[in-house]
Amino acid sequence: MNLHFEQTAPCAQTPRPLKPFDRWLSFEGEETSLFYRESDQYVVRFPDRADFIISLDRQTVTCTPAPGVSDNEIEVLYFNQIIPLVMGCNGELVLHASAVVIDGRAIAFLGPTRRGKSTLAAAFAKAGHAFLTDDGLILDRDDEDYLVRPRAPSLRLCSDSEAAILQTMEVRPGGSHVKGRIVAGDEIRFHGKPVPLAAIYLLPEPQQPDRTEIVRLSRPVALSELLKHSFILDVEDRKRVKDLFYRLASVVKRIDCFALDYPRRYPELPGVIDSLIKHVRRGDQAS
Amino acid sequence: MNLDTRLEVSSSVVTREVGGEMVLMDLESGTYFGLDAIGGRAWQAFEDGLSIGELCEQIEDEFEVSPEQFREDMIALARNLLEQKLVTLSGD
Repeated sequence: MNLHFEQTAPCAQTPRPLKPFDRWLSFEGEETSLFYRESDQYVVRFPDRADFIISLDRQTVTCTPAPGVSDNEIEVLYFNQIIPLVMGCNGELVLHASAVVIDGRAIAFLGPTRRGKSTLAAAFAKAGHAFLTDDGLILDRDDEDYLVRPRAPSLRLCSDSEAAILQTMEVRPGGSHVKGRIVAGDEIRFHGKPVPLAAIYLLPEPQQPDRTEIVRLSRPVALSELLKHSFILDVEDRKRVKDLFYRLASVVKRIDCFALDYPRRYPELPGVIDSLIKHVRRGDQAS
Repeated sequence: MNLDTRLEVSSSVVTREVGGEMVLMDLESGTYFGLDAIGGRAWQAFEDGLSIGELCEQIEDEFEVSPEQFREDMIALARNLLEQKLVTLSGD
């Protein structure tokens, strides 16, 4: 993908001329992203953070940050949100998922923000199972397989996850929900080559079980979950949504999908990793 | 609604058979529906333009229910699909 990016001077956000056709909400019900269609381009607004104007025809993105927003935050929004959305429009399968490598095959953790995708990826990587991406998972079809494309050799962790997994003591300003970038290295390894996808684990709302629980999803349920967790810029673009539906239907015919819940306590993570590795190694017999 | 009723499948609905079920997605509303094996057969029959009665004649022998019960079930399914706006009455 050859996407041209430009950034203008900061400017306070003012109401857009039209109403948004779609919006993403946080768990607390706050608007995190608003989607507008304006003539031949789209505008994605992150309230009080930035507006991104996307032209699919020209393959350009122009960002106007809100005053006081750092370049680092703009880069994160562009890389983690805007690029996957544009890739989705360009016919790529892009999921809200992280992925790690076990025995030469990838497993993916699918779910919304703050469900544990990056924490699991980091914990697996720390345990010697390299990560491929911590979000914006790209799937490529390769004959009988679906390959997970490596994305970037860094992941973003909340400071409490970082402290627990990397045993660092540094606490970043802004509290435990502010994510910092961890660059891959000897301790947290990145896998730089495509790997066949073995299974997808959906991270539903945690029910705080005492031990790791893995339940197979029926293929129809898996299909609806993959649709919910795909990057799609225009949910009203029937042609693209229809194409996505068909392609994800093919994915769930080949890839087993499970719901994964586990104790959300850091000391339990090694046990969660063990359970998942055993589950993956049992392969097709896993339930 | 009766055995002579024909249904027209909405152009905004896309379908795929996965895992023995027919998954329907209404592109208009963005909602998903699942039909079991019988429902999936019925959907295909409606797509082919069969009436509810013709559908019953075609496939009721394949399932272990009485013909009366099967017809009632198919009429109920057709009503449900209509309520969900996945189909319209043919000729409307």
